[in-house]
Amino acid sequence: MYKKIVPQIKLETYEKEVFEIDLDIAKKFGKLVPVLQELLNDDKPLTIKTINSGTLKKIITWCTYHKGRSPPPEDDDNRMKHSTEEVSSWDDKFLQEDGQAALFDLISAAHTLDIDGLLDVACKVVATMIKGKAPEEIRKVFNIKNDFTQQEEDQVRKENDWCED
Amino acid sequence: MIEWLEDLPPSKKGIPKDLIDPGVLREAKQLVIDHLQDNAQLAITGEAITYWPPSKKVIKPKKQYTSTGQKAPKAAKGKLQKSEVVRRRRTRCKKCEPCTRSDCGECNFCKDMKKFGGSGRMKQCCKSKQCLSPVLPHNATCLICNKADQPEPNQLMECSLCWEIIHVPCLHQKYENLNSEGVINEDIRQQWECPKCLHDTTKGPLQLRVKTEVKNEDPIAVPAVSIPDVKNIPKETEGKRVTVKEQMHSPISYASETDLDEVALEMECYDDAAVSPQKVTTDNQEPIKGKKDGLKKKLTAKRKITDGIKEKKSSPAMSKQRSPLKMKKSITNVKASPLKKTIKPDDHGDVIDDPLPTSEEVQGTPKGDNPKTNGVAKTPESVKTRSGRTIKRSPTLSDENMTSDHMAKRPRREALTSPRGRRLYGFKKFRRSAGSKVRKKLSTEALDLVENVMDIDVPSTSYVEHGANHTPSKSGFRGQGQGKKRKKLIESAPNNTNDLQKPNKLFAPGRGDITPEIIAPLKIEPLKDIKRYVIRPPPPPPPADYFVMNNGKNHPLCREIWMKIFAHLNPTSLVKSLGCCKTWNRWCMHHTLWKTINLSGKYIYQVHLIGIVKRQPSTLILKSSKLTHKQLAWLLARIPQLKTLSLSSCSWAVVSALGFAVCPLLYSLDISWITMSDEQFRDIIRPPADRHPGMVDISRLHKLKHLSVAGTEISNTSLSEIPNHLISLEKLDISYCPRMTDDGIRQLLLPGNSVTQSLIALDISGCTKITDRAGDSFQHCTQLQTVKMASSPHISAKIRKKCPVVSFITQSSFQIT
Repeated sequence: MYKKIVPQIKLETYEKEVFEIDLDIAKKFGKLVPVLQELLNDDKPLTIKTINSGTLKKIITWCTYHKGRSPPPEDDDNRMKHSTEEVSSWDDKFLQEDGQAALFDLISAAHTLDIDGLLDVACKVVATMIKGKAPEEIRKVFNIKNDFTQQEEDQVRKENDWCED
Repeated sequence: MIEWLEDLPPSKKGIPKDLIDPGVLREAKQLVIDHLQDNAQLAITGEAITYWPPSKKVIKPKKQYTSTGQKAPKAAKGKLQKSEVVRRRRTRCKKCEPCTRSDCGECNFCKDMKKFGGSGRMKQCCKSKQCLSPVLPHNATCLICNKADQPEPNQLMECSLCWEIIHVPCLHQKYENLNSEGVINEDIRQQWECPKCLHDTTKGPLQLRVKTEVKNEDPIAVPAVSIPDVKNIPKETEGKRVTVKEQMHSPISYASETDLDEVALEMECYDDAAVSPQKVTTDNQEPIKGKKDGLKKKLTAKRKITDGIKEKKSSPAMSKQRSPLKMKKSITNVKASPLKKTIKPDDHGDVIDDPLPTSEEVQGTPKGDNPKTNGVAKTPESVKTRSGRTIKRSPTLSDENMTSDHMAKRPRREALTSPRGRRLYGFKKFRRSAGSKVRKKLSTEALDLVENVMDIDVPSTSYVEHGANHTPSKSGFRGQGQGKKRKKLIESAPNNTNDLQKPNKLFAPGRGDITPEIIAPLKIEPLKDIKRYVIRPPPPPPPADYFVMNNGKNHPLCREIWMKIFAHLNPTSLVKSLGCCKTWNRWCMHHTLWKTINLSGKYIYQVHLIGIVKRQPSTLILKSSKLTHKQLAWLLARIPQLKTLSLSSCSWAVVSALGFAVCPLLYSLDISWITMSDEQFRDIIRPPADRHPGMVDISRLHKLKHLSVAGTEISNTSLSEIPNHLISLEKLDISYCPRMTDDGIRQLLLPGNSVTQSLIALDISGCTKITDRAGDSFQHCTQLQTVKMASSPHISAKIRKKCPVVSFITQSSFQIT
């Protein structure tokens, strides 16, 4: 009975699993905002094939956790400065606990659903993975194929090392 | 020092800009020599004042080229000097846009003019009227032939190294072994680096062409007397002929001339007395030389060509002109290397072919056959000429000989060998050796004739050479089949890049026999008709959306997300990311990741400049950076998106780079703490002196919102200029400008000035001469919110009453760290 009071929308994932999401949380999904009213009235779940159940579960968890906290106002200027330090330890742990693949799925999903806060935090987490590493290490972390020849690599380094701080 | 100057290789000899009279060097030397014998005892100091440093080197006169390495005759020297004196002068073209302007009345030179109330001493033209493409004065004459540039302008070329003004053909005729073509300066009309200056002395000194006496001065006067001789030409004479050709060693000589011979034969058949005057002239000359036969043949051949030319003259002049251009283009890329290969085959071909031409000639081929016979005969003849020598010939020739289809091939060849071909590449940027082209000295008469003819037969040099002489007779030959050949030639010309190279090979060092020949100067087509198409590389493809992982698959995250990730990286990490893979390299170079580039205090090198241009930052901080004016000027022209620039504590020389039309439309400029006077500041904020066409005459800084000129020496004058140019200024920092007074503020904030409508913040800290009276001016400002006035002893609290809206900050924002 009590449950009914909280309006919910239904989302169907890639695995055809249907999730019921509170409206408060759903409002954070930028992509869904324009169609929220429809979804509320419609009993049929909205199918999002690009997102799997695990990811959606995580997203819901994250949104629930952050429901009470409003994201700090950000503008272009101080974005760089904040950088990665401000990722809370909970976020950091939460996002990385399932490994890189899950993190990337999460980012993709956040991108698809347009969840700004989550996307931003997740990107910061990835940025931390890059920070302070040499190219070779970065390649290892992200499994990047090195298509540079040795000469090219030297050349790139030579051309760009001036802008390092 | 004088010796050192004199010993410079010819190509390095130049006269410094500021040295008005190049003869000064010579005089200086004379002075030194004169005083060499001075008695040291008599000198006040007890020492000889000047002395010639002991040296074993033979002093060489400047800029003299001789055939044998000996000094050039004095006459030549005199000429040179004369030209040196005259040479610098160029006159306005009267056609370009600046030339058509009227005096601006504002520049220094205008102000000096009497009509603007000046003293009239400077005698300089208005700055805005400076001609974009000054031309040689109308009375400039060729150093070699002493003829002016008539009737066709732009035929004279001035060398930027030796400053000699010459006709190109004249030069080639004077020296037989020029091994380089001149390099034409595309920026200045009629200027080039002449082959003489570029002459590679390692291949031997320049050889003066042996001058043969030219008997027949007036080609027209003498009718085609020698024609009968041509018929009689026996095979034996071919040997002689060879020598003649060798002497000529111009592409024309072997290819087109041979063709001409055949033509001549034809001509005879037709009994065209009117035929070419040129032929006549040549014929006359030949007998003199004793090599009549060969010459005659050539002459006749020439005739043929001319006929073709004549036919075309009326209509196809335009097409002719264009074709050379194309050829030029194609030629430019051709390197000299291929030339040498070809030599051998040709020689063989020549030998084989020899019999054919003669027989044909004797027979006198009918008109219809001409094209064929010409092709055949031509090749052999040319072969003959070559065969005697070690001569180099292009394989194409031999091929042509072999093939029966003369019509098709022949045109090509002609194009190659023909003067036109030469001319084409001759005027390329990178010229080939011109030696082959040039003949002996021109007879002045012939030259005149040519000039007269020029009007009619402008198109190709080859035509000019041969055709020009013939022109008088042209009417008789029009409409004959030769015209077609011509056309083909022209059409095929563009394709014949290889052939074009031939001429280079041709020049052979020692010519034993001298055959006098009258050669009309090659006519240089004016280059104005050339259409230049800029070839740009295609735009780079858009960056990949995904990068490839080691397993060959694309990474799940797309570029858009990665860019968000990169946005959280600092420059150092970005640089590391640049080196990960090509895709990342591309992504990380995006300008959104490099909005601010801070190079404060660094030495700026090329790598920085290139890096900045690649990144297109919107904010560039060069505070106390060590860079040059040139660097900044180069940079500013390439970062049009730049909005914020800090040049604080740089030198004025650097900052002055802002005063040009390429300066980006900045929103914020910091030029504080530099040594800058009022005049210099004015140069920056005024509309740029170099205006691009279509550009509005407005300061490049008119969009400037924030300006800091703190710590400079500008005064009230500058402040009064600001409202005229910086019309949207919101924030102005004139702190620590000790010369600012209340009057400056008043002029800056005169009621009605746009600045009063836009100014929001003003910093007058440290301006000790500003007093409370400035408060009156502040009242005119509608938007003014804050005024900083720390360390301003003469400003009291009264000022607050005057402008209650404005918040005055008296605390210094200086932080000593």
